[in-house]
Amino acid sequence: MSDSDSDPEEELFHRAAEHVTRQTTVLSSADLLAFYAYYKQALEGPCETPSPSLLQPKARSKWQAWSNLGKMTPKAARQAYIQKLQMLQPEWGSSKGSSRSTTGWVVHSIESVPIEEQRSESEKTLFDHVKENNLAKLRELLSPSSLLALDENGMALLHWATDRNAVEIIKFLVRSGASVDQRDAEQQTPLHYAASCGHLEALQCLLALQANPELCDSYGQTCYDVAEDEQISGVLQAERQRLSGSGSAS
Amino acid sequence: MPNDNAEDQPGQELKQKAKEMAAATEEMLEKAVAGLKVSEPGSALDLAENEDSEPGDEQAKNEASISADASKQALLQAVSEAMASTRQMAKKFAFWSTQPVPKLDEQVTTNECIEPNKEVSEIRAEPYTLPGGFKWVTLDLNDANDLKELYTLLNENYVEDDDAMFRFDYQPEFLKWSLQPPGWKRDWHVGVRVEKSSKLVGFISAIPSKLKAYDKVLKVVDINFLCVHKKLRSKRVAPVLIREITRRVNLTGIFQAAYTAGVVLPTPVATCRYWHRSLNPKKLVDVRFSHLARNMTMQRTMKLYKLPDQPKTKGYRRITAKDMDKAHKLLEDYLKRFQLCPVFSKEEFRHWFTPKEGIIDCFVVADEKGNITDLTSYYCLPSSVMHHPVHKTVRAAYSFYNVSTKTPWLDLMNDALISARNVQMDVYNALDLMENKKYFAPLKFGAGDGNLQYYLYNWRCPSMQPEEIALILM
Repeated sequence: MSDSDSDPEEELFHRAAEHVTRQTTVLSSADLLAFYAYYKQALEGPCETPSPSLLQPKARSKWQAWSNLGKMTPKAARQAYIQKLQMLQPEWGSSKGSSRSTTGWVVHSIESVPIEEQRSESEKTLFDHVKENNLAKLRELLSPSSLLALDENGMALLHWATDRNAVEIIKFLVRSGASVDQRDAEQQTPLHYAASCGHLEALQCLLALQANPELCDSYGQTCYDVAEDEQISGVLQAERQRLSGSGSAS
Repeated sequence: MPNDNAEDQPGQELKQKAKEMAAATEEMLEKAVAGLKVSEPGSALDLAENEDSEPGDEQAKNEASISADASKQALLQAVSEAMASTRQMAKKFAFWSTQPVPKLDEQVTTNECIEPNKEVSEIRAEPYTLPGGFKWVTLDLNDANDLKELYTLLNENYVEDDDAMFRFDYQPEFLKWSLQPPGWKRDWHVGVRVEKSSKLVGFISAIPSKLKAYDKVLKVVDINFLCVHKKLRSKRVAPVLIREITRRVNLTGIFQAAYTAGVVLPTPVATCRYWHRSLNPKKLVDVRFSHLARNMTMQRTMKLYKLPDQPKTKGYRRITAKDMDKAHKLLEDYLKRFQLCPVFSKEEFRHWFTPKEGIIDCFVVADEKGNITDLTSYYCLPSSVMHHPVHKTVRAAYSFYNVSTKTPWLDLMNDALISARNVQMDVYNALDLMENKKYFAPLKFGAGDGNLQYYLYNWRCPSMQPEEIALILM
């Protein structure tokens, strides 16, 4: 426990350090190395120990990281530590962050948030906006060519919108000219995504937009074949009957 | 408990220190607020003082326009929370310094009691004094009303964090099962009621148990379900509850206890961590129990966590009444290798491992000769989901005791996951104790965000690694 007369920032630093020790399974080794360096600098000041031998690569990289901080003051190192954590895990100190259980008797654990680099608004791609269900941003930035583009996962915007069950975005993309039967790198249509994820809302939305449920992916499976549950199968069956019914009537 | 006189000399000193500390932090906080030029009232100080805030305050807070930029706000909030937690710590430790528990920085090399056992005549005969307006009661869990009241108290107050997205929803039948094992005493289901309204506002429980700590077997109680109503948090009722349950337990000649908590108190014997295995990933993401990484699709996530329809291990089946003695022996032999573990009697084993729908389930693997070679068990504890339009509850299975002698760990635990999924559990949780770490990565468990601290009362022994612990308290 910290001293009663420590200043608030030091208190925060110690809380941050305590938090980081519980995040060693989720933080990257590069980030952990940086935290290590700031921590040593904050507590012991500039690195003055001799460099470990080349035969100790781990100790050496730690030493290197610390010694790279040069004459940074402990106060600056504490601030850098907190800022880095704030950047990596903006919610760490909030009641929803990992530290929330430290004052309570009862602990209700949930899965740790995966640690990813935070992207600033300006760095975000259209794909990010779709994943975050940000229709307003998409409206502002969408260009016709971006509807066709596949990302590094081999997916178009419409596949991501369907994967996230973002019905309004699905409608917007199709209205903007996206093909409702667009194929991903595995020849999956948006309906494959809706059916396999069990996204009923997206499925109904796509069907209303006249998506074709008979198309096969590169494994030869239709969206019926990949349906997640009976509810999805039921909706697809009804659609098939409707289509064949209207087919025979015409 | 050492003294009738609640906060004795060392306690007084610490109490004084805590007061100074609280005053100092308050002052610092004010300075911090002034320094950051938060022009409108409303946000910062409220955050530090919002223990008793009413729902209406929320709106007032939102309406106040705050000129400081967002990052300063975040920093300020973090600082004020740190201060609040420091104050709470100081208060908590003022109490714990009066208790027979090891100091946080104590170097322990022995395995022994801290205070010697007492004669009944040395133990306070009358209950400890509650704050005015409250009275002690002993709950009768076989009475539907008492049980319902306890259920409601825990449901609404057990998780202290008001902003929590999830709250434990211990079912009434679960409470009866966990509080009425062989040898249970009604006297140890201790409640506090408001004198006027009779409303139940506090609870603590003890159940008898035998515990092996290193080379010694102790008669102990497991302390659990310490709960104080939100409105009473400032009245320091929890220490009185702890003293009172200790007194009642001491009167029966038991002087050691085991308990777990999220908070760090003097002094954990071990620190464990929950891990979670998604069984219904879509729902878990939906209620924000788990999170998709930016480049992860729901489609791949669902494939990743898919399990076979039925358990695969030959001879894997639910435990039956006939299996009890063999399974008991299997577990008894297995637990010996751990440094902290329960010593179950046959009756206790039957109580804890007889399947009860929606409460406890247990499976064994039997070979052709009818020998029980492996065992896996979990208890069911749903959590209420706060503020979600569709999902009201997350159904969680918690790993209880598992033994593998013939079936490889991965096969046994994969079958346990399938069993849990087949009764519509959404997630399977396990602590990183016993041999559990062996299967976490291959079976796709993800680390949780909270630690569980293990404590012994009136017992001093060297701290343990999670792998040395084989004790599960609900």
